[in-house]
Amino acid sequence: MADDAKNDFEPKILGFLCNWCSYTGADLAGTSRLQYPSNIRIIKVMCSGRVNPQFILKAFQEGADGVLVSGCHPGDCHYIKGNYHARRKLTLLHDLMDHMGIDPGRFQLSWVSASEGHKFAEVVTKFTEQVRELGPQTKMAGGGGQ
Amino acid sequence: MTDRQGQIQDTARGWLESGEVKYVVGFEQGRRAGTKVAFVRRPEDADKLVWNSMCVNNLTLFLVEEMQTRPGRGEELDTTPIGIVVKPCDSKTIVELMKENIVARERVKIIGVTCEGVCDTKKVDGSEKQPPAVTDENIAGKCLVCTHHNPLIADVVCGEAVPETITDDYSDVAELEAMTPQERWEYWERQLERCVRCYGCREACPLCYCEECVFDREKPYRWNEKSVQLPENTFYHLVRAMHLAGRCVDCGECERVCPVDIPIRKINRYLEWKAKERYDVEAGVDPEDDSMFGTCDTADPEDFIW
Amino acid sequence: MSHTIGKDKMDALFEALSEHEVYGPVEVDGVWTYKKLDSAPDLEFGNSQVPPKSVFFPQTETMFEFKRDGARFVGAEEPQRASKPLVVFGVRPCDAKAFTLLDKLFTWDYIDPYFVDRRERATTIALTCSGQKPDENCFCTSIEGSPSGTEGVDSLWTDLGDRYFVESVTEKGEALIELGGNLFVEAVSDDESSAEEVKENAVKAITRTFDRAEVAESLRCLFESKYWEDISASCIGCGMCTLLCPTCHCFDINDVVKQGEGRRERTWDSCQFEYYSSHASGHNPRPAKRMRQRNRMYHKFLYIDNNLGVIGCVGCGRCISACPVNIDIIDVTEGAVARACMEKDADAKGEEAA
Repeated sequence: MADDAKNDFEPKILGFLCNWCSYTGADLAGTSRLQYPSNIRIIKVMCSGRVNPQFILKAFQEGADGVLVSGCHPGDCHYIKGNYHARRKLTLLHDLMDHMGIDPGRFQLSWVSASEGHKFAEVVTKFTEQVRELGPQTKMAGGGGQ
Repeated sequence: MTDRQGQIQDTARGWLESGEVKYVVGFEQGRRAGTKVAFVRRPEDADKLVWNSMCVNNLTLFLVEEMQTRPGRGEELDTTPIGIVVKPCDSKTIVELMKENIVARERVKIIGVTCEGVCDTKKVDGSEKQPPAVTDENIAGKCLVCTHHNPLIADVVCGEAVPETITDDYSDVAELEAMTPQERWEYWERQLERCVRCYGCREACPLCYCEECVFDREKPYRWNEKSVQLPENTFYHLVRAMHLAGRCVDCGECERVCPVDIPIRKINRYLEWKAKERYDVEAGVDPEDDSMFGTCDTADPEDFIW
Repeated sequence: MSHTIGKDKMDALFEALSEHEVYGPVEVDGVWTYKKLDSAPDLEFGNSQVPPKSVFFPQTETMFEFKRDGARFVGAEEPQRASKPLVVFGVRPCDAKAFTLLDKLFTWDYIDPYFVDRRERATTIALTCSGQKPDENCFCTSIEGSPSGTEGVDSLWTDLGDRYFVESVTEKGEALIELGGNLFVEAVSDDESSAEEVKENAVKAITRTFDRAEVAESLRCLFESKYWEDISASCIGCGMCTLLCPTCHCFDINDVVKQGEGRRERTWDSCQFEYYSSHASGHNPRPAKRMRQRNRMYHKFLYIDNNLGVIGCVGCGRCISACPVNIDIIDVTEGAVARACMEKDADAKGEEAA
């Protein structure tokens, strides 16, 4: 892709943030007036462990260019082990995407605590740039409805 | 092989005569070389049970059906066990089903058969009259990487013990890993494009036992459109693979039944490999094991997380 | 009058058909399906796994598109239809015969514009079975078919080794010869006799027969029989026998809606799926697999016959080859006839005893 086209491309990114840490972290980024790309659309979930691999694949099918899942740091989960479960499931999904040749770089898991507003901004900035570099997601897109 | 067949028949006959089981699920001779699923209910019919290289089905599917049968109104559940003939790979399915509390051990009596491999029915000439001997040319793909030639769980084992000589190094999956991501996608695109979404892989899978599959559900949300197109097909196969991650015992039924020859086992085996490598999980070995996604470890690898 | 066309002329013929949409059998990783072609067709095959009904009745088809305007959907617009004529290469005569059943069905009480439009534009070129076909599960001759049958065929081709023997069955077939011009040469009597030989050999290669004389009658008295429980016990409820059937034509209509726009599309459905007959209320009149198996047989051998005057099977054998548990449509019908006799006898004896 030509550089111009790449620069013009604004990726659509879906974020699943856990209620207790990352969503509050995103809030903090906002109240601290930190700048981060507006490409991310956030869906609040109670725990990163709630995120079913299906959600992520569905997002790609509906045309998302990237999906970010963020939860509490290991050991900090409000539900004790939810993020460990998320880590297992989503690591395998990441592997599977790689195996199928569906750029695994479009899917990211991160740990952001309620006090890490700056980290949230950094993660979103870095991820947006990474997805922008990959260009529009066309492999799974174009399906779905409702 | 005939020896095994005799033992199967004798065991089934004995169980049916004593009333220990209400019926035995096994194989009977089909037209020409193929076999059919037999439900033997009377001791005198036990003679029709066969054992040969074409006994490919994983019959535990019918065990799940039995376990999920609800009694009619005013009837009581008949918990008399059923008998079932299993190959070692199928016996792994029973272990996995016990682990998931789908099968109660006391409701099944297992005739385990030691096995040196079965034929890939797609590689056997349909006009063949007799079950052919298993050769390097016609052996089923799953048998080439099989590490369990003896049943893991059984009430009666038929046949001599078979020595284990194979170590599974997942080299067939690693072959794909050697390609570039773009080549891999092109490979899978070509495969998934022709899926007709008959859901045969799901129906034939004894571990796809959900009473309402997410792909049949319409309310409150239809997860996947009915459109038979690449995005929907990909979604179906990836979600199904994730649902089987850490559970699939590689009985190979999905790939065997596929009418358009999609190499479904490759996807499942890839996850099997990763499950082993990352979490040291092997499905279908011990009913006391924890399920992979039902547990976690604080020391799990974290290599792609920010 | 008959012609022949050399196999080396196929590229030139494809060139001559540049104004046409050309369909034919395509192999991908050993699996044959019918697709739009971008080069001369390869006709060295047995039969496709997915039948050529997909050319006229695609598995997924957009019927029309619409847009949202506030709370309403507006502008239901039919998609632009192509006006190019179609040519379908390499259809086996059984599958071509199935087209005539679909013709009747799609013009029965309502004329289906999508199917009819494509059928009217199409020239069907059938290929006499030779080589890998007929195979061990073929039985077209038992149901008024033939491996060189011409029902639903515009032009019948027979493989003579280095060339095809071409017989025009309809005017569309004649038009194809005209269009091909000197690519087609007039057949000599030798060609005719070798084609005849190929056809005879094909008939001889069919090993399976079934007598359908009593099938309908037997089915009528078996509706409540336990027979269906017996034969469906091993059925796993995948829809292969129906999805891969050249005459099965059930479809499901869904609206796929995305934000401001949507499309209505239809997709093949199968009576073997549990949710096929499920009502909006949640009630399912066909909840058990014995009922679904029974429905398949009744539909093929009774209902379609009642409605359209033909039976819903052309003897291609796909359902037999594909069934993961080896349920065999011939065995099931033969079993039904035997069972009906048996149950009749039992009834008669019961009455006598009474």
